This record gives sequence, C-alpha cells and structure tokens, in this order.
Amino acid sequence: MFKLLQKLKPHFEKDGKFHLFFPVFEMAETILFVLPSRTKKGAHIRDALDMKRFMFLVVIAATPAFLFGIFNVGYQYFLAAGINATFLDIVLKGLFIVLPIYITALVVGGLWEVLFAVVRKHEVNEGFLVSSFLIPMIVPPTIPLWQVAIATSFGIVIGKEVFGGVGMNIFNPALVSRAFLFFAYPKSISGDSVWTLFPEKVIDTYTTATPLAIISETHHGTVIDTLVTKGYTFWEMFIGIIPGSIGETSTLAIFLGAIMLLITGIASWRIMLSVFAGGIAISFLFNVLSPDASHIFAIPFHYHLVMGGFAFGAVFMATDPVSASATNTGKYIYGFLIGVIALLIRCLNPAYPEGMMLAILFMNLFAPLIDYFVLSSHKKRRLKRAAK
Amino acid sequence: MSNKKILVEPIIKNNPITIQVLGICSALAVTSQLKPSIVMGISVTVIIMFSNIIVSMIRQWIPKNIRIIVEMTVIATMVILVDQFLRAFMFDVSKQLSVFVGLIITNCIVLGRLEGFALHNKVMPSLFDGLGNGFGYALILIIIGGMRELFGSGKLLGIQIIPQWLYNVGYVDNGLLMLAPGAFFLLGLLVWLQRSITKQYEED
Amino acid sequence: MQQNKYYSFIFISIITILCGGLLSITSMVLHPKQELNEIVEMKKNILKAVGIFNNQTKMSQNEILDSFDKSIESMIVNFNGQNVKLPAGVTIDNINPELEEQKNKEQQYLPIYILKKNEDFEAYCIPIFGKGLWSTIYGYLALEKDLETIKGVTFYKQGETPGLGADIATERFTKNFQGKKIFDENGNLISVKIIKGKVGESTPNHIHKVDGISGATKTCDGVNDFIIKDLKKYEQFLLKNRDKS
Repeated sequence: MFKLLQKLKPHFEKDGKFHLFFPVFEMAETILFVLPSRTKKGAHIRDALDMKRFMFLVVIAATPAFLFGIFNVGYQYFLAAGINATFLDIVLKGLFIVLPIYITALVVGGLWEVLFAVVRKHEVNEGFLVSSFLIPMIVPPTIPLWQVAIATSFGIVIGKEVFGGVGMNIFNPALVSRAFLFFAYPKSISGDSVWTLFPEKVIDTYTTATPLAIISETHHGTVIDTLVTKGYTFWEMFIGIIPGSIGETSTLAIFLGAIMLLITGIASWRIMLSVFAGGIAISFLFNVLSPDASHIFAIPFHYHLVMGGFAFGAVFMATDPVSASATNTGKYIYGFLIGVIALLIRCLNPAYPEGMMLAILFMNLFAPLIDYFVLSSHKKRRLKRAAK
Repeated sequence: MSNKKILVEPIIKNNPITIQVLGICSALAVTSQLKPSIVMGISVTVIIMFSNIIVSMIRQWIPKNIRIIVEMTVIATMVILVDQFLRAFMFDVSKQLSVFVGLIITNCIVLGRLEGFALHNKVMPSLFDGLGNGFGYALILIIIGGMRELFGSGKLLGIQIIPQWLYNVGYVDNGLLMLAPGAFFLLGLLVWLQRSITKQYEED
Repeated sequence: MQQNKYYSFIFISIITILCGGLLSITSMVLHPKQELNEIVEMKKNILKAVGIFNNQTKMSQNEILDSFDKSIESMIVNFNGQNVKLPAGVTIDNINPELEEQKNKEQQYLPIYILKKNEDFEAYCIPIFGKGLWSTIYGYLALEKDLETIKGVTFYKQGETPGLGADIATERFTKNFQGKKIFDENGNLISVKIIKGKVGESTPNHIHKVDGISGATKTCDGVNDFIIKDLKKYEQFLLKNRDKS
C-alpha cells in the first residue's frame, strides 16, 4: 500500500496530471501512514501535539457517549414500542438509526472540506472528522437525513470556511450546525413531545416530553416531584436512559470522555471546571430567588448538570481550543460565563429551554475580546512592576 | 463616462449593496417575501432617480453651506410621496413594508448618490445614475427576497412553487430564512460569491 | 457660489414651501383612499372571523364593503352589557380597542359586530388582542347566535416565531376553535384553552379545549390569556343576551 502511494505520488505533485487533486492524495497518505508514527510521542507536550492526533483523541473521547447514544436510541425505540428486545436487537436498531446520520454528516462534511481544499490549494484538514462525529451526537434521532446534510453544510461553510478554514473559525462548526437546525427546522429539534423515534401505527398516542420541557411547564408540587412522576429521576438522567439528543443524554459516558480529555491534556481543565462552577453558582442564586418549590428556579444544581446538553457542551464543545479563549485567566472567565448564560437562558427564556448551545456560541464570539482584556491587564501590571 | 456606462456599472460591478455595502438594513428587513422586495426595489429606484434629477436641476443654486439640508428635504419629500402612494394604491404591500418605506430617508445609497453624483453632473447622467443604482439595489433585494420566499415558505409571489408531494415525503420549509439573520447569511454569501468571481477585495 | 446667509435662508424657505405644498396636496388627495383601505382591511378581517370570507375568496373593495353593510350590524356596549351611543363625531370605525382598554372599566366602549341573516342574529364578533411570546397579536373572535359556541377565530397581525408560533395565523390552526364552547355547564364564562397536543373525545372537557401547536406553547398560553381577558369584558353582555335566546 505504501509503495503504491509512493508510486502514485509524482502524478499528484507539481507537474503531475492530477495536481489539482493533490490535497486528496495528501489526505489519504497522512491518514494511512503519518498518524500511527505520531501517536508514539508524549501526549502532554503541547508543542509536539499534531493537529491530526489531537482530532483523533477528541473522537476517541467522544466514543463512549456515542456508543451509549446508539444503545439508548435503540432502547427508547423498543420502550416506546412496548416490545421486550434483546441487547443485540437494541444495539442493531440503534446502529440502524444513528449510522445513517453519522455517514451523512461525514460524507457531506468531507465533500465540503475536499472542495475547499482543492479550490484553495491547501491540504485537506481532518477537522471535519471531529465535527462530523459531534454533529450526530447533538441532534435528535428523529432528524431527517436531508436536514443533517444541510445543517452540516451550513456548519462547515458558514461556521468554518468563511473564516478561512480550520483554526481560523470563531465558532464551533458542530454547534453552528445545531443552531442552524434549531432556527431553520424548529419542529424537528424542539417541541414538547420529541426525540423518541417510535414506530408509527404501533402506538399512536405515545408522546414523551423532555425533562426541560416538563420543568418549563410545571405549576404545582416541587419540580423534583414532577420530574419523578414523569419518570425522570436524577440517576436515570445521569446514566442517560432518557429520550434526548443521541449523544447528550448520558452524563456518565460524557464524564468518561472528560476524564480521557483531561488526562491527555487535550481539553482545558480550566474551561471545563469553570463551566460547571458557573452553572452551579447561578443555580444556587436561582434557588435563593425561587418563589416556591414548583418554580423552575427551584431545581437543585446537580439536576441542572445532568439535564439537556449541559455536560456535553461543557466537555466537548466549550473546550474546543480554536474557538475558546486562549489565555488562562480568559479560560476561567469564558467557562464561567458559559455556565451562567446557559442556565440563564434555560430558566428565564421560555422559548429556548436548551441554552447551552446558544451560550457557547455567544461566548465563542466574546473569546477574543476576553483574551484582549486579559492580555492588556497583564501588560499594565508588567509595566507597573517594571516602573518600580 | 457614457450614459450607458453610468447606467450599467452600479448594477453589478459597483453594486451599492454587495460592493459598497450600503442600504443593508432594509435589504434584511423587507425581503422575507418577493413581492415587498420588488415594491421596495422599485420605490428606492424611483426615489433615487427623482431626487437625483431634482438636485441636479437646482445644483447651481444650492448654497454650499446648507446643501445636505436641501438634499435631505428633497429625499424626505420623495419618500413621503412614495409612502402616500403605496398606502393609497398598494395597501397590502405597504402594510408589510411598514416603517421601512419611511426609513428610505436614512438609506445611505440615496444621499450618497446625491452627494457623490447629482451635485456635480447634468440632469441626464444623473437620471441614469439614479436608475442604475436603483436597479442594483433592486436586483439584490429581488434575489434575496425570491430565495427567502421560495425556501422559507415554498412560494413565490404568494403562489405555491414547491409541490405538495415534496412536503408529504418530509420536506420542511426553512424557518431560518424567514428570520432577519437568514437574509444576512444570504447577503453575506452573495457578497462572497461576487467578490471571489471579480477578485476585488477591500484589503488590497 | 453664493455664500450669503440671506440667500441660504431664502433658498431653503422656497424649497421647504415647495416640498411642503406638494406633500400637503398629495396627502389631501390620497387621504380618503387611504382611510378607506384601513376600513376595508378591518371589515375584511371581521368577515373572515364570521366565516364569510377566507383566503381563497377574491372580492374587490366595494364587494367587501357591500357584503359588510348587508350582513353586519355593529353596536357599542359598555362593561355592564348595555348599548351605548358614541359621542358625536366618533364612529365605530374610530374605536381602537387597545386604547379603550387603558380607560376605566365603566368608560370603555366595547364594539360588537353582529352577523345578520334575514333579520336574525347569526353571529357575534369581538376584537381580541394581547401579548404572545414576542409580539402583540391582533384578531377577531366570532360566536354563534347562542353566544356560547365559537364560530371562528382569525389572527391578522402577529410577529411570533416563524414555523412555530406564527402558525396561529394559519387556517389549519384557527379551524380548531370552531364549535368549542366558552361557558361551562353551570353557565360560568371559562373561555377555551389551547392545550398541548391533540384534543380527542377522551380528553376531559374536550369541548373547551383546542389543539395546540407543538413547540409554540408560550404563544398559545398568550392566546389563552388574552381570549379570556377580552371575553371577560363582554361577560355581562353575553350573559344578558344568552338568557334572551
């Protein structure tokens, strides 16, 4: 294989007849051969970190949540249908639903990446592999494939390519895709009774509200009671056996990924920690302000952390090094504000129960500004010290 | 410059929206459907053209120190006239356009043409300049309005274009295009497209 | 170039007078036509609510006015349900329900439009308006002659979320109101309630419930709130005339 590629190489180089497709060739070559040689290097030395390796590890870290998502989609399907299914049946069903979404995102994302690489004459960057892996995890299993294709295109083109490609984007492309779906096709991504794919005609009346939809509706009893009576206990939401976006439901699986990201030093612990800190702080504030136990403000903080896309966003989205703040102090501010804004939107704006996505996008926008202020305050302090 | 060049240049090559990036506000606000976009395009064309003609006619008598006030008076008069006519004869569209007809007064394209062209040129070239810039503006509005209405509500000029069977197999209209940011994305893509074809960049 | 300040002053005066004159004349000529448009628009929406007019109907302005004059009789009541006369110079077309609402209860003029067929009262129509999620929603609500069953609802102005809340203006949604009752068995005014999901025979009190729009709960809550708010204004009128029929 290696020899074959070496033999083909001249055709793609400067004067070869397939020069135009050099990026495609490059991609094939590096994916197949360069990657294994890089993995041997130290994982925590940031300078030695190759972009491809970096992407690869993010995908590995997201895998537990992805696999759990596949299982959960199948599980919810059979639960809704009222059929007792074996583990194998469940996984196969889940695969059958999730894989097409993943393949769609992958193919569409790859096409755009190759197209821009060819037009702009740069190497194909594997960034789209991460985005294509994350996109299926943040959409509901009921999403039509053509919407996935359009949303992926939008995320890659508007979220990344307009800024000049990987590394120059100010927004996280996967989140841009999700935001696009949210505003363009609100019916498939929000609503009261969504997100369980259930066989039509088996049961007509099966509808489930997501936990977030329930709490924004609650009017009597404590919020916890309401959630429990609807079948959402803390531990169920933590483990993730609930309907929801494919990869977002299981806080447990996300934690596994988080640990891996932190050990390898891929993700910034400062951001992750401060997102949770921000979320916890604001939910305490809400608890104090809450008029009575049935109000949405009364939700205890640990419930907030396992509901909706909070954990997923904190671990995989907020920590994206390209769109986050780069300075250490900046990372604390950036993360903290994400946590605060996510819950502000969740609790105060009835139209958007899921605020995590909007909060991260919003803070993406402010990340360079935060860095700017952090740096200029550093400079001032240095100058003062120097003056003494 | 020949009259023909004055007329044609602002339509594509020096388009007031995509190249000069003026008049964005109304381009975003009124383009959720094709019909108001067309009416808005025509209104602005009429206003630029007549303001150009009037200012060009009186250009020798306008005192330098109050020329902006004079220009604004002329524009405001034209805008109110158009608004009154729309309200009387195209009530439906004028309801949709609401305040945005009145806001043409603040549209930089109009004042820009008066300051930049009509004040120093004869009546005929001013007429063509106004017409050309108006068409350039209207062209972008119609493209954006058409795309937003077609993909945002499946219609053009209120007539269903996207067939019912497509909806039956699961097609859904794109809600983002009905919001102002949708127009913003389309406009951005248009600017991108045009500039990568003409290779004309601000930074150079 | 002339830089004399007297010249500038005279020049701008002439321009202003010319422009002002032009605008005044235009306004004078076009004003009746514009006012007519506004009135036709309002009457069209009332006809829509009572079911004479729908989106497919093609009618010229005169036909709309004719049809309105022939079939609709308007009256003003007060909070106690008594007929009141408007002060001289004010017609029912000048009544703005939104401004009326800010007055004291006793002084409010409440317009009612009554659909007549061969001298019989067929339907009653009242204006409704109030806050949805993002915008103020305006519409009309028509009741059958029993003053209990809803004949039709129309929303003619709103700025809700496209694709979700904005769907309240579609006939697909508004036809769900038809046939619902606003009084319970004991004769209390309870209005109707838009619920989440579909209303079936098995839904408790389904005669007072309306199918909701999935994902537009907050808009529907707003609609629920202002329908009962506006019906309450007419409560005395409704009760009195219900007893008669």
